[in-house]
Amino acid sequence: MVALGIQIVLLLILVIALVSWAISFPYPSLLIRRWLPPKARWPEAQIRGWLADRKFHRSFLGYFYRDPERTPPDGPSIVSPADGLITGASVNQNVLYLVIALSFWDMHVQRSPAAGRVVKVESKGDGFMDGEGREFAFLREKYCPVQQRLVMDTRFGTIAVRLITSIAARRIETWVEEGDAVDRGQRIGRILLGSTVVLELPPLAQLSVRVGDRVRAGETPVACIMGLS
Amino acid sequence: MSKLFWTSGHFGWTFFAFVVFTALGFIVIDLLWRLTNMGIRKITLMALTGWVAGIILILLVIPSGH
Repeated sequence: MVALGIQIVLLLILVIALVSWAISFPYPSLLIRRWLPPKARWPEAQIRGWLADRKFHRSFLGYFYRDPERTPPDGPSIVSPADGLITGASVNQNVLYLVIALSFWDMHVQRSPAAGRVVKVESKGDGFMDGEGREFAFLREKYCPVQQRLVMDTRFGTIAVRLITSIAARRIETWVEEGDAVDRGQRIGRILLGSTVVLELPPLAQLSVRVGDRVRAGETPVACIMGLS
Repeated sequence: MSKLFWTSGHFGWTFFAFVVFTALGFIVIDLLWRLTNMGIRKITLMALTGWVAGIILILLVIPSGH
């Protein structure tokens, strides 16, 4: 009788596991989810489905909203304002644009690339595609982008950080205001879901990263200005 | 033969081991498929080979009728 009881309990556990697998397929079931890395745990197709339905798994939101401490490196370098992949670095009208693409699994809190003072916080809504959107690939490639542009006066000159997202997500939080002093690596804002961050630097800046590199907000040196130490 | 499925008031251990091994193998293969970049053909072949080897081992280790 004891043997039968043990067998029935084990078989029930297996039946629950298989039913859970069938319900979740093609996405990972609840039972194996915890052992998977983020990209396999919440596949892109599943996240896009949530984005369309405006419903997300609580576990994914917990992961997405993470905000770990970061320590900027020693030295005078300009640090990355975001976690992500460098997808572009080009000079346009005397400004060096460094484009960082954030995936769904990247940490989405942005940090100040250098110490300084915020001189302007610009919001650009849906209409701006008629203007500068035509000019920049990083804006053209986004579906109906919306953005916030934070301009800062630093010892390296004027630099700006653009937080861009598409109209599907269209939520950007900025945590600094005009006139605020910011430290290097300080939290400055957050983009909610699939996004791009563009760092605008003086043309004299020498990049220490290349297209295809992965960077971490507040930690990875991305550029320095010759003659300033 | 009936002892293979039911013996002494419980499921036969050979049959029970077969069911548990097959179900667990299925879950492990699913996990492996998600964790690696292996193609579906390679992973299916691997799963079948492992399953056949496991069943042979069960039949050898647990004599039917127990």
